[in-house]
Amino acid sequence: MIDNERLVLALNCSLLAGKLLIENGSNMERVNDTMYRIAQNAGLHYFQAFTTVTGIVVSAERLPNAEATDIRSRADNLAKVVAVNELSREFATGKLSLDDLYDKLQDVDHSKMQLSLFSQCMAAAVLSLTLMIVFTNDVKDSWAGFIVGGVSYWFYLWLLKKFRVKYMGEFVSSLLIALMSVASYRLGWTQNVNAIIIGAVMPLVPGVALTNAARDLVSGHLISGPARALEAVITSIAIGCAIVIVLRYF
Amino acid sequence: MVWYFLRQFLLAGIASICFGTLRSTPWSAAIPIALIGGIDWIFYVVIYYKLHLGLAMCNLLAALGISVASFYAARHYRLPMIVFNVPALAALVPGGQAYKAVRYFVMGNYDLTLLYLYQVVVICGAITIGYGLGDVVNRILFYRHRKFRQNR
Repeated sequence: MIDNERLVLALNCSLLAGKLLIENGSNMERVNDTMYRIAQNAGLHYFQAFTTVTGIVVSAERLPNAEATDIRSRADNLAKVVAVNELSREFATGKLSLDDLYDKLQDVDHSKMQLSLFSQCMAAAVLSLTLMIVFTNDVKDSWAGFIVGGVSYWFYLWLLKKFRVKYMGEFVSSLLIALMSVASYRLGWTQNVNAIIIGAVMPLVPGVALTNAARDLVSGHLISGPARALEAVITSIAIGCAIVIVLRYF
Repeated sequence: MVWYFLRQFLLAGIASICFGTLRSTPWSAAIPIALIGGIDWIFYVVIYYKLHLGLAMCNLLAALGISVASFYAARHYRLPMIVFNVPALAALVPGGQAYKAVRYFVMGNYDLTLLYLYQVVVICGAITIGYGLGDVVNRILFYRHRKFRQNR
């Protein structure tokens, strides 16, 4: 017989795991699967989870109250998904006790698990360069895509840290992308503004978010799918408007 | 010709690794991510630009390929499947089209807006269905594998 305190702890474990997975861009089917598995392995009966992109409610038998959490920020940090997955697997095989699982999940929640600023910007810069060549076959101007992509992504991360408003960061760094591309064109260093812009916005555009939204929608999560799609649409509107504002006047 | 494909392969592979790095995938998964992303992009280029199978079918088949490949990579490296199938999408995903749709909408060019919006919807839908079919294919392959083992 499991006592009540342990039941609440198991519920919290499952809640925290679900929160971490949703925050870091896992699809809903996977989230539910992991949460139900943790609950089952912890010995909860009639476990129920209501998962949306902005919050989770869970309940189980013999507990009078449901537990809830809200999810404010969404980042795509797959390292945390890997960590939660590993912990869940260890818990299932019995290597980890419930208390250890909760402690380790909290460690994962508090840790940053991100590369340094410089390597992230380098990755964004190389991504801009390679995708620019893949999509537009423009090798001559690719150095501009490299620089514009890297600098604008650095600016985006800085804004995100400073103001914590994602759409504003995307808007302002897209302004920077357009300004820098237009400036390089005006100075006569490059020929193809469009190719540079398409390359440089690639780290920011919500392609994966759109695809995830469609996947959620198809798998029957009718609240999460449209919510994610709306987020992606707002992001692309922010980027598109910023580019157009600059291109309209120069 | 070979040179063109080699260049596309290398660039798409590097792009996939970088896309993964931005989402902090573990380094041990970098090489399979690059292989999946690069080979799948070549596959897409061949069937889209050479065989002209159309936008929807090409994205569907490419997504199916990614799904099957990343399922096996996930089992082999003992990592969740999302680590492989999100970065491998880097070159396929309709981000550029979404941006272009909004851009032409704000500029008042509604014909091109509709064209790109249509492309976004078609590509998203095709990738989704490709992943769904990939799950089914994975399940078939996986269960057959298990049955063989039981029979032995």
